[in-house]
Amino acid sequence: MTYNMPNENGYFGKFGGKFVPEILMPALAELQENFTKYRNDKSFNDELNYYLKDYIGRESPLYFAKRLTEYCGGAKIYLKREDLNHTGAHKINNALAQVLLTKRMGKKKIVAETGAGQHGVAAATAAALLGMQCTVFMGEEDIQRQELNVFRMRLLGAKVESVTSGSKVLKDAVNEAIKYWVTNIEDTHYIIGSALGPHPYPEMVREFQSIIGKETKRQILEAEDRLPDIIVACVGGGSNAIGMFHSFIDDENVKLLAVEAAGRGVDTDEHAATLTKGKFGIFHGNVMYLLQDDDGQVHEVYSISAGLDYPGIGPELSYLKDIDRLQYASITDDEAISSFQKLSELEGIIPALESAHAIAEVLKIAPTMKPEEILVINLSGRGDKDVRQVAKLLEV
Amino acid sequence: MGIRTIENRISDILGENKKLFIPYIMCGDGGFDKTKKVIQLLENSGASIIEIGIPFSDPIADGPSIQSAGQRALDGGITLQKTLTFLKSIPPNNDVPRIIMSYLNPIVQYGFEAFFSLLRESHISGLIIPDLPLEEYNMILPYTDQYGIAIIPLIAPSTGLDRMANILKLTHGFVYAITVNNTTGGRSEFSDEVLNRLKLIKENTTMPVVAGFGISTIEQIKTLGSYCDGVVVGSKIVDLAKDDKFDEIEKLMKAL
Repeated sequence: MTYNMPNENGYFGKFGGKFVPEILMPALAELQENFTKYRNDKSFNDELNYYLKDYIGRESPLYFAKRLTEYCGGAKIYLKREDLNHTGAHKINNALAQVLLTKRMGKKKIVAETGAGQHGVAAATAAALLGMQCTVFMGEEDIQRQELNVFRMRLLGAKVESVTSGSKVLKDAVNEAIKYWVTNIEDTHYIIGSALGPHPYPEMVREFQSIIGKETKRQILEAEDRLPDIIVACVGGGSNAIGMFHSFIDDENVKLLAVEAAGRGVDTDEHAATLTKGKFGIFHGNVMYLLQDDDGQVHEVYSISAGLDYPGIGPELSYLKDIDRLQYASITDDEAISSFQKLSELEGIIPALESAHAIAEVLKIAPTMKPEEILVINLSGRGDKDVRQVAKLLEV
Repeated sequence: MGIRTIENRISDILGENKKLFIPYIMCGDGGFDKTKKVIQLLENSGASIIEIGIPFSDPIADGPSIQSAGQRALDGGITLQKTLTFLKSIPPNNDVPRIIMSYLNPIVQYGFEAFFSLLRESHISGLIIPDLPLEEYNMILPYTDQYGIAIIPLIAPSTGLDRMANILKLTHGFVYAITVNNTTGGRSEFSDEVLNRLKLIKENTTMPVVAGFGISTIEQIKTLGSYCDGVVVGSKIVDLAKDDKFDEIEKLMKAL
């Protein structure tokens, strides 16, 4: 059976939908109409492909990590090098495409939320490229731990708004970005950075990120003449994971493994392990797995990695978990830092702390696999932004 | 309690050529004793209906006043169940119906059946869920029907006429018209556009129309009230209640 989700109402099984204040509904209808119109439009795709190639630098390489493979002593390990994209992560794929769509919709302003700052930087970059005004909401806590990205956004001409409500991290930045959108609905498009939110966002972000999986499929067939046995990606909200996994959903022999942040441990109160510990909930406009208390209040979550620090997981990954198509694991801060160092030493690649969670899981499972087996990691971003934070922790 | 209670109350008030004044409070802000005191004050000072908010961690339709009030309530340990159990313990006086404003997720976690059954026991007549749009209402309709709870969806300035017609079909008691595209909270003035919009909504329904969001001064209450059947005042009441400025609440309520 061919996988074909979501349905016309934006549902992936029982996940997804559209749960926002009435004020936003006409804007979502307008977005739906334009996304439907342009996703298969030749001139839109020609423009997008031009920028993907000449500006972002796609396609990104699928690199055989020889020394990492030898170190693990098991499966052959490939890295999908999203870290080599302009701005340093996969986030630009979606941000650029949505800004191009915004232009077609005749709007001149965008608003975005950001956690680690990668999506904020990507949105600010695309806005600068296309001459749009950009406002980015970022939690006060995240502004402190990702000051380099804050500076980058400001250099790029974006206005960075510090969010002091709630737990002052990514989920609160999403709240404030939505509120800003409510107030500026006439001339502003909201560019959400993850594959979640009210329909059509989860489908649209997946569409714009699915280039990761499409390229990977072509590249691995060229290199190995067969599909990988397992594909590993880190998950916060899930945009790099669903972008990588989507092209492989129908390939039932390819295991899809999502790695989430266990923070200080899934049995503590300080983690962001939504697939492991989340329950069915409705948040930020969609039905999803959600970390919440018995009263339905959304948890403050924690991870060393600001990009994984989100209490929900997008509806499509929630659905794939529900039908047992998605496997998942969680990695602690300590394990992530250790793999951050390991990949740097072995391959000369400093990964983003987010991606280091995927690497850490691979350090556990690759040694248990056979040498003829193939493993692909989505290396979703580079670690330049994290170097100062890790240096402090390691007291270098 | 229920739809009929709201309808009767409204027709009594409008029948006397008066306007509707619907104050909003955040349940549990400052503790339940304080909430009880505020509810009694509102009931005795001529509130038409009282809208009672249940706190939520991520209130995307609310501005700073109501968000902070909700956070204070949550910090004080208030939950949906505690709110409704408390309201059960203080039945309404002077025939002033109560409606609940809650985001969807706490209701989903409590369970629809248990929630609506508790609403009924807690003397609640109506329900506003700000993050439940028209398209998803089917999930609660069996319960609102069964328990006779009024549904009061919001109509936004951006809502088109066809969509408005469909929302009006769902609506019980009164139409809640959002004045401007914004979150809840005070702002300085209302343009002709807002007033024309209220007139347009009035022309499209036989139900009374009430304006809400951003109404905070006596002057605004009077102006907007003259273009429709009444007002909801939320953030301002929440702020005054927080500071124990009960005299000022009474003054606002006498504006219409």
